[in-house]
Amino acid sequence: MRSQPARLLFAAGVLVALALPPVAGKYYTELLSQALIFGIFAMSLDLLWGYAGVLNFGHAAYFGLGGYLVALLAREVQGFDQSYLGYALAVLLPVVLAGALGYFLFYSHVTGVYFTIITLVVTMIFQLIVSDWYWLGGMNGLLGVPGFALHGPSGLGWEFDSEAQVYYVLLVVSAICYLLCRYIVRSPFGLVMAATKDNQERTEFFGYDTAYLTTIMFMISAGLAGLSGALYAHFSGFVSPPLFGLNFSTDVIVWVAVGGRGTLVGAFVGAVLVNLLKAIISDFLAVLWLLIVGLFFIVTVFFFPDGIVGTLRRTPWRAPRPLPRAASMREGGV
Amino acid sequence: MLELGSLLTQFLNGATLVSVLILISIGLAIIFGVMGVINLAHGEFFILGAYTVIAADVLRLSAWWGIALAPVVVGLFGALVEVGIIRFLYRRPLETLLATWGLSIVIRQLVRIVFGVGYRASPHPLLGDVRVFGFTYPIYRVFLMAVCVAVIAITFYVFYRTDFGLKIRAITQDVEMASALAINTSRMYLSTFALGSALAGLAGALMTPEITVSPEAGVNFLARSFFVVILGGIGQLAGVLGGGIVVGELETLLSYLISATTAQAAVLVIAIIIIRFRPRGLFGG
Repeated sequence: MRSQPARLLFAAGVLVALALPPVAGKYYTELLSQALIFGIFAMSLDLLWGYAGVLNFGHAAYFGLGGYLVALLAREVQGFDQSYLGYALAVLLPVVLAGALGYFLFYSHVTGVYFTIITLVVTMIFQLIVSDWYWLGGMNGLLGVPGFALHGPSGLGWEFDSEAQVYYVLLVVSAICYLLCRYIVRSPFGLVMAATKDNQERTEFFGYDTAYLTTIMFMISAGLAGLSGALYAHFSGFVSPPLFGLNFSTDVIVWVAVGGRGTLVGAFVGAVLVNLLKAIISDFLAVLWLLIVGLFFIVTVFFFPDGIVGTLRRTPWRAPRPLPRAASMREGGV
Repeated sequence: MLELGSLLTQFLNGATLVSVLILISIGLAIIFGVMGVINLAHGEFFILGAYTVIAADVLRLSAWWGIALAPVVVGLFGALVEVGIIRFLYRRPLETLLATWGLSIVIRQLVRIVFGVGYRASPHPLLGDVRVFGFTYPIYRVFLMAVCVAVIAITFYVFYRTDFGLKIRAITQDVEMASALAINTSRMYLSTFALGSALAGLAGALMTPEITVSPEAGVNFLARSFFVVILGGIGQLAGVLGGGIVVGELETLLSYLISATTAQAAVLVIAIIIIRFRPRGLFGG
């Protein structure tokens, strides 16, 4: 049960989100649209990091994969105008990659920190390859990805022209993704996942195949990241190697950490706040932005491990969370 | 005859890469094995070594001074990092990971601010060729390998033949037991971290003439040395030798056949596959 203030906060958030485009103007509407896409991406990381306890340090690989895939399809395949197929493939390919990696790593009991390091290297491999292979655009990336649209089978489709339309569509997509994730983490599967995060050995004693479950969670997370990458490619009109990069991978970790790990909503809160802040700060202090990001990593670890949403939920006016979860969140560390 | 010559050159290029990789990875492996700390700023310690040489050049000192000073400077810096950050995060690996990654971003950005964003070069300390079995090879690379082999040998000696090494191995096995036996663990951790950082700094300084020195150069070496450590098997120095040989020679041989970037990617993919079948490393039990 949500407490009264939390409900009010949620309702206020929805109202603000709906009323924004006319008030915010073109620039900020576009900025927020992009932040929504990043929010979906961050939520996909949170699914794995916050609920399975596995930190993917190369999450951008799946985002980039989705983005490059739709970009390549739109540019290279003659008369390709069925964007629904692009989106489907942009989900499928990362899922397959995550499945393969999960098979190679989780089944070898490569978990925790080791897994994190290997994901870090995976994203670097992608960035290397993409910057090097000229038919993937090299360092310049691929330009001219068609604008944001939804084309269904048999000619059914909508084009979205104004930035307000794009914003509302992204808002709906975000809401659907959020509800889907919420359903997943509250399903029996999600509960076993939480148990695995708390204590893998005991969960295995209960007869659950934790390697299998973690791989599934990884695949879901990667698929969602691929979707957000595809959305981004259509939204921004181009893709480039930094989408795969280590910096982008760590940006998304920052968003989740700011918003609050293991909260889902926090991913959106973090993505919106950090990107707004970045737009404001890097306008006049571009040099300082990365310095701030770096210091933020260090400060978070020491003073701010629960993020904004996590801290709010911890405050007295909210009914205490069920005991076992709450205790494990505190002990489990990152 | 020509074939043999280029093959030998390839092998020697590989050996150069191997010896440097081992030098970097050994620092990483010591810090990880002894303290359980995964230092994502290790690549930045490497470039700090390289930039020490460049700073020496700016101050009109010869590159030799730079190479000699680099381990001292970076070792001291590492000690500061240990006291300021790492000390509070023992046995919390994922949090150390985040904090050291933050540190690496800060270092990179500070280097950009101080030295500029582009590539930097310093005068080459040792030009000229040497004849190896009738073929010519750059003399600096031979020097590079010799220094690496010497430092690696010294490190092994320290670990397996001195009191200091004995204490470190005791801590690696069982921290609580070691501190019960009056080993000052926090001081040992401090010197371990400083030692590991100094090795990375030395490697960076030695590699300055061989690579394009830029603030971003460290990450690349970080990734390779992680694979060296994981492939070799965690917690044993000898494994690092094996891992270094596999990663370095494989990469050099492959880049003979395909583009350098693709070769690097291929090596990392091969490493991931090896980990599936030998999770405890190629040389781990």
